[in-house]
Amino acid sequence: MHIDKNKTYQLGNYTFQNFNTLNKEQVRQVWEWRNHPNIRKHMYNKDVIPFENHLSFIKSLSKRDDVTYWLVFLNSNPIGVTNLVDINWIECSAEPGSYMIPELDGTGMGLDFFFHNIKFYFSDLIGCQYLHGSIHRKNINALLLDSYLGFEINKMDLNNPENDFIRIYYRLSDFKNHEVDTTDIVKFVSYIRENKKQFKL
Amino acid sequence: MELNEFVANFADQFDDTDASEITASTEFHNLDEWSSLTGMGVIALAKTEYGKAITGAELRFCVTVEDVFNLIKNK
Repeated sequence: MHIDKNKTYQLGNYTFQNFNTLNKEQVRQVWEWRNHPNIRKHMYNKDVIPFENHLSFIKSLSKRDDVTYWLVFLNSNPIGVTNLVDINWIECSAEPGSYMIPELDGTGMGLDFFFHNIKFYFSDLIGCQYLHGSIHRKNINALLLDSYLGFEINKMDLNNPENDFIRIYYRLSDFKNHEVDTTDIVKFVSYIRENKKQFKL
Repeated sequence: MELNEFVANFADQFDDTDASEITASTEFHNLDEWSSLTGMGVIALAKTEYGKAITGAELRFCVTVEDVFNLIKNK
């Protein structure tokens, strides 16, 4: 597993620019997206972040080895932000997170965007062996999306209503064996319909 | 393609929203349950029921359910 914070990575039509190399305009743009109500409602910290705090955070990233963030472009247009936290360099594992920019919400581009983020982490560019995370049980859409993309959902967490958060896992070997069609929206919607009940208590 | 039938099909995309809340003049982006996934359901509906391809970007410019009906009808 290897991350060059000064390098911009290319994966197909997607470009991943590390936050370490953002210009002033991009830093401000990311701050505005992050504070958008539709974005921050899904964050652990739902408060509006002052610009000074945002600047300090971006600056601190260059010194940290446990987290890293990228601005993601599709065909040179910004599409979202993706990040790894809790990076374990020995186990080559981390917890991914992503959001699409608010202007693209509801365009149907999210499925391919999230898939390419996972593909990026498992690719030789980054070299993750194992991804993990947790999703609030009320966020059924995220659970369904991650399940469709191939994440394993912890059934014990799912079946225990006292657990607010449900753990999810993904191994590189499973990713290689999981076929995902991110261009067929009808297929994805059918999957959502068929599996929605199992995530609702 | 009938408007009433389309409104009923549109309402079918929602699980928790009562179908009676959805009419031709409903501004669907304001519905609590509206999300990017519901939007994808509408895109799939256009394709499977009406054989028309609409994009999420086009859907974003629609305000009411009837706007979506007209979008699909005029494709």
